[in-house]
Amino acid sequence: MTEEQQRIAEKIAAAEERSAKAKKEAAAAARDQLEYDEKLTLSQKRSLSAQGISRDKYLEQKKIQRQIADDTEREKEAKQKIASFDSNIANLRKKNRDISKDILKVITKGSGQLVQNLGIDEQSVRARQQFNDATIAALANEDFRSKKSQEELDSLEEQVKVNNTIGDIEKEILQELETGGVSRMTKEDVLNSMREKGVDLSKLTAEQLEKMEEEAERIAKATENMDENFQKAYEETGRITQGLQEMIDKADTFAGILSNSQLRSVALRGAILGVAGAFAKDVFDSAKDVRQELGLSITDSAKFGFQITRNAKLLGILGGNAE
Amino acid sequence: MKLDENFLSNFLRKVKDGVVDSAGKKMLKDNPKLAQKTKEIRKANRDYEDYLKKFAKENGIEM
Repeated sequence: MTEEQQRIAEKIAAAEERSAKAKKEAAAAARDQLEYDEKLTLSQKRSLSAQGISRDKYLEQKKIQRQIADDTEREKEAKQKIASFDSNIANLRKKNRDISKDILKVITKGSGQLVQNLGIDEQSVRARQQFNDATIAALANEDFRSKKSQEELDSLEEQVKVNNTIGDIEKEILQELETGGVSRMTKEDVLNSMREKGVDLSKLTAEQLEKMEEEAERIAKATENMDENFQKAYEETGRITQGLQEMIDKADTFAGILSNSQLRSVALRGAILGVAGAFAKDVFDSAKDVRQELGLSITDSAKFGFQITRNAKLLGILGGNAE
Repeated sequence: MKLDENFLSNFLRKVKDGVVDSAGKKMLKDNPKLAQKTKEIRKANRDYEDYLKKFAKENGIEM
């Protein structure tokens, strides 16, 4: 539709709306007249007249009441529209924050970091979140909205939804990975899932559609890479890092004891440091096990060996033996 | 003598990071096809980020 056609269509719609409104008002006025002429009793009319309310004044008063009711209705609708808009913005904001948080929680810790090698990476998640934050803030700004056409506003809001949907699908993939196996998706599967999750393609520009398709392809490739071999490596690494995390938690507790002067003195008296030495040995034995389990290269082994020896010396001050 | 009470947990954290890093590197080293695919995916990710920046800029939105 050309701009001229659009303008004409808008004018026709406005004229039709005016005409419908005038017809509605004429019908209501006719009902009022009928009510006054045929439904009010003579004594009711006399009583009104005694109060200075003539037929014309009665009908005028009825018209004013209708106008007040219309204004109240319009105000209510406007308030509902604002509330609905605010709620939509709040929903977009919450969804954006929740999705990013959930994905980052998995891919930035332990074996989840392996996923970053396969295409669901932290930088991308943060970039989408940043775009959504800035766009949602702009959409919530009345001044910004007043400078944009409805079409532009729709395409911006839809881009936020596309980003949220991409995150949603990535989150589902990560959940599958956690529970033992990622289902392979084709590009079409991803696009269908996006549509099912509410992306309105009619609100997107050609460029947005193209980019959305590219993202669907990327996600499809990522699921292709998360095959059985990856699942195995993910689970093995997860098991090892989980074990190490438990040791870190214990070490943190131990550090807490050492950093508290009162507890430290109790610890010294109770020869807890000796226990700490034994604990440290366990830790380094485990680190060596980790190296063996992973089958690290000679260079890596040497690196670990150096770290273990260096720290063993440090541990000497605690009376432990870490080798 | 000053004792750094956090050295144990710091060391273990480094070991843990090293485990994941090594596993990732090993995975890509053992499978050059996968390494190539992940390169392409990383490029797709960077392209999409650039697109979002451009789209925001065109609409007068500061990221």
